[in-house]
Amino acid sequence: MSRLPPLAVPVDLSPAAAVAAVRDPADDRVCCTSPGPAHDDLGRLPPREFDRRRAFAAAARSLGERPPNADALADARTALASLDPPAPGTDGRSVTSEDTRSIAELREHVARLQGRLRERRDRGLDTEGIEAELRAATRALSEAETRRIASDEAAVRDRERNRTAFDARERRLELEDRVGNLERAARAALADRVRPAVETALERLPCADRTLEDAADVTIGFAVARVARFDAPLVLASPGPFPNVAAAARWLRTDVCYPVRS
Amino acid sequence: MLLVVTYSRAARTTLRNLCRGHEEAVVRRFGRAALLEATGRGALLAWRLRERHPADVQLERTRPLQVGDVPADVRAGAEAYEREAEEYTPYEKFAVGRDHPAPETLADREL
Repeated sequence: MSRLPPLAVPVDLSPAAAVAAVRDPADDRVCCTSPGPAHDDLGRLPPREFDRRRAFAAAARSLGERPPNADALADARTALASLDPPAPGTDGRSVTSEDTRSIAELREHVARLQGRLRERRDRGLDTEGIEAELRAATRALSEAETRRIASDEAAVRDRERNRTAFDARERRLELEDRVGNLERAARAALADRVRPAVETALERLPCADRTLEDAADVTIGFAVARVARFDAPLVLASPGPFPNVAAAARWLRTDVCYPVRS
Repeated sequence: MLLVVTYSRAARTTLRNLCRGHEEAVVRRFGRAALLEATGRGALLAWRLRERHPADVQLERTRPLQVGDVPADVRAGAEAYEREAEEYTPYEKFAVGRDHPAPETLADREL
């Protein structure tokens, strides 16, 4: 049984709309199965943004390749997802110099009143008024000191809570970095697996620059796409080095849709 | 100065980008932290970071520590310890029997 030639179907959409329609299984402007791992990086040709290593790695994944550190990466991702560090408070309380100053002033005021009270007693004068004033001042001082102690304790509690929260966030950051490093290593390993196939594909392209060193991203994009396996149509915004979309689809060995709106 | 410490990759990236774009307000950058100048433009950057990553940014205000900020006996204790103490003698032990402040009293002294 011979394999049917790849389809090249026009769609009455812009390239961006076509890409979105292919990616969204619920979007029936392009009816197709869900796209696999190659689509994020290679689902549109020529590519708009092209990161070689990402594209190579995506092609390798579409062929069922697994990076050697896949288990470590999965474990690190699970560990990261399981973290839910507490949030630090945003209003760090601290003792203000204002509190300190007002307590010092109140102490002086009390001392002054005590001095005046003694003096009036010594001279046998009436002390009723000054005693009342002294009671009020003493009470105000004691209240200010109580407030100060409470706010000191609250500041210490806030600091402890923030320390715990930031420690937990620091551990999460270390894990985020670990996941990032593992992902980078995984991409590099996957990219290495398809590089020879991409180089072979490049040599077969009908254009001038056919090595990884010389070729433009657009050209390399076509070569990587030929190596990758697609589960849904590729959006071909232009036939690139080929005379028409049908020729491009044949070379890419995959069904394509080509947007007819700009 | 304003000390900004970040606690996530996203916040660290934002800090890096802000510092690159506003070098004039950055006193010093350290990996995932930075010292910004204590001006309106430094504060604007710090507050933007806090707005974007509320729980992953720690903001503190710092100022240079100068000789006059450190009590004379504390300075003397530190200098003597660094110059005279044996390699593995902790300060606690060193201070005993000498005229240097005891560690337990230092914690309660505010500068």
